Amino acid sequence: MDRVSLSVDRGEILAIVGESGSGKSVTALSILGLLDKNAKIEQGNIVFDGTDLTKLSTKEIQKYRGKRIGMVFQEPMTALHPTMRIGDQLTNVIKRHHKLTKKESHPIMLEMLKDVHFEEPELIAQKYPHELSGGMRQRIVIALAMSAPPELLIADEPTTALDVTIQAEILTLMKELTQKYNIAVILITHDLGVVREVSDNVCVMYAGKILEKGTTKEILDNPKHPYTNLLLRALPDQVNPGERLQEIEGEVPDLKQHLPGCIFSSRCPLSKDECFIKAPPQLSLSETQMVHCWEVSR
Amino acid sequence: METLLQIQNISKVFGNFQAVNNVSFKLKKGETFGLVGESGSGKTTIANMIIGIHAPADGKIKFQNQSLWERGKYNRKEHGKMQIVFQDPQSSLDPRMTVRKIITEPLFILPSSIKKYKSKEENLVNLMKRVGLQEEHLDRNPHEFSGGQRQRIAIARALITDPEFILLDEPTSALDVSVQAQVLNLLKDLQQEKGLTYLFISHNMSVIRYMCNRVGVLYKGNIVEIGTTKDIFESPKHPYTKKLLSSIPGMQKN
Repeated sequence: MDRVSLSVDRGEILAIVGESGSGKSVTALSILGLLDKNAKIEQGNIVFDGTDLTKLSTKEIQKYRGKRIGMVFQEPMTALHPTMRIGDQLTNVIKRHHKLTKKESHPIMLEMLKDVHFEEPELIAQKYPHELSGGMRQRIVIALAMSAPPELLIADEPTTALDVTIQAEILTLMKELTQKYNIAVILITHDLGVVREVSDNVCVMYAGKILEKGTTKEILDNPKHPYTNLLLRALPDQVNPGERLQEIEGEVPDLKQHLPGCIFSSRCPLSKDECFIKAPPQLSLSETQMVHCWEVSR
Repeated sequence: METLLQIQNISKVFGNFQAVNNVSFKLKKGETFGLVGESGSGKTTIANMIIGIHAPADGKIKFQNQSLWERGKYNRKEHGKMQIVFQDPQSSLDPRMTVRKIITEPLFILPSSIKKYKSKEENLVNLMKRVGLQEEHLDRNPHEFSGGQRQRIAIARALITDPEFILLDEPTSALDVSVQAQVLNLLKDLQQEKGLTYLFISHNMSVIRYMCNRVGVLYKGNIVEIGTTKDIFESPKHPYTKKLLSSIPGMQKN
């Protein structure tokens, strides 16, 4: 990852969109201090509600994880304890966050299950994860993440493993909870459709860098960076069956070597000499839209 | 148009679970027929019955007017006329085989004269180039390739026997959008060049719309709606089709 900057406010859903290897998950993990030992943050800071998270010890950041910053991962089965009833898993977390007894936690637990659209919370609380469908499990994971409730929720591809009709349900639920609890959400996804559906703002990442960011409307309807442009035209829902899909030639560059110019230059159809030599300038196109590109500056 | 593959009232039960229930459809030569549905709808079970992994409990599957299943036995008149490309190119390519071995493996079943002719170096190089790979890739192992390249290897393996029909089971679901575009374009080009017939299985409605001439919508083992892609997308009749279409994220809803 290289010089990534982003911010998200309460009540806002920020989508980080990118293909595999773009660094979108690494961004999320670094916020929570969950990077591998061999990875380190060389520069910069992560400021959460006035505190720089990069300066905290493991023990201190532990207080943020789960409590003030919640996390939802892609695969709901691995996030749940397989041999513990749903209700117990939830009450355990509530007990901890709110410093309550098991008995006191019980009604809160039922309330939370209702929050994530379970009509019969008592029944669900008795079940084990394997008795639930993928979509139901993901709702439980969201309930777990929301139990504190946190101020920031990081959702890493929360709907990728789910069917479309279920995906739609989960996205609606996330929007609803964002409003209800007035939390900030960072949604990591590779799916531009999901971005259009839920997010307020978007960061487009490629090979560890942010190439463009702006409001969802700006990025999807009026993309400026050639990569964003190509990516949108590579989507099969954007073209008629008779037309060819936009291909992006080549592959993501090897990040072990330091590239002096624009990270996308090797695959960019519009690249000129300077793109390969000097890092592109950061251009503000509006109060919200920002792009790193030589072509746009010309 | 001549019918290439005909599915007649097939059913399949696993234990108490009715995976496929009385499904029928036809594939005309040269077209792409899409099967769309969510997990558990029976898409893959249908694929497995066509390519010979599971015998249908009931019904008939005819390929080139010949019945594929006779009393629980799978038999083909001619080998190599039907091929398949699987979803996950990580697990569908043997990690210990070179690309050369992988793509020539389907030839083993063919008569030795054809086998000899088709595994000629020149033929292999042309095939590699056609799917967008290079000659030197022939002697490498699958782990040296990206997901998109691996799917190209899987496509080369399917093409080597000069099939009439290729079953594409979620061929781009594991790929990034930009790579998906490359593979879909390649599949369309190959179809035009070789007059291939595709059965395209996917859960992704946008991909189905882009690739297919006709579509069958599967729901809990039943085909609930079947029609041209235009009809399905512009005037869906069945409530489930409507639900599926309205669930596509980012689609402008009217």
